[in-house]
Amino acid sequence: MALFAVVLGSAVSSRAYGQGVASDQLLDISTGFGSGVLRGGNGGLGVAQRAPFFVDVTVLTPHPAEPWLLLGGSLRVELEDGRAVAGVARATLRHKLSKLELRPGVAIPFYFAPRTMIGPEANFGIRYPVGNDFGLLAGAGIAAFMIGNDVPHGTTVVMFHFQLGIGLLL
Amino acid sequence: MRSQARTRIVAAAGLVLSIALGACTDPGCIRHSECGHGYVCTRAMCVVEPSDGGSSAEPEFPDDELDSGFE
Repeated sequence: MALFAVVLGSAVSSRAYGQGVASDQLLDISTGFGSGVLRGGNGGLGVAQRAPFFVDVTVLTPHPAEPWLLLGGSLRVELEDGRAVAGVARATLRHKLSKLELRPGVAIPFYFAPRTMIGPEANFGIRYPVGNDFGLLAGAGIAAFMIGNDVPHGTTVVMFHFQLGIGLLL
Repeated sequence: MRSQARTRIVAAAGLVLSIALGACTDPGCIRHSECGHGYVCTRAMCVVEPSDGGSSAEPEFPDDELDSGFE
């Protein structure tokens, strides 16, 4: 709920300060590595585990009319257990804060191999610029998976993850 | 001073992250894909996937655990 409030609040402030972000870039490419906490359980049994380590590659592009809004997606590959693969559709807001760029956003991760699961995700990222086009990224997100044949019957899989990465503006 | 503060923030974040990850080590499964081929996750345990789409009553072990140690 707090993340949702941050997303909404940043949407309003990004409109107000939309001049602060560059509008001439075409692509934002990044890669990251992360893990987190997986929570679920069936029949009233709550279980929490470390989420599998994953790597992902993300490509975002600014909305033509609203450069503070980035749209795009990621390919995520888990490195443990079933080595699941997911595609993630993303919408991310950009808000300049001094040297940093705050990036709250929403996403829809869709795990499609070896089994399927899909659900909404809210996330929050920070980009620290290093040089003109290069940047360091840190982020956290929470996702709830309710649909798919990887989700045990009668339960919801909740994933809270942290991520570190690098990004390039083109 | 600023670099010291930054170092402390990074160290604190690392500590929180390691505690959060280390604390979450409950046994059992959460997703079916953790259980390996032919098994499903039911009541946080990996069980043999039944042919009728339900789940078997007795918990079993995934293939890799069965293969180790029993000849």
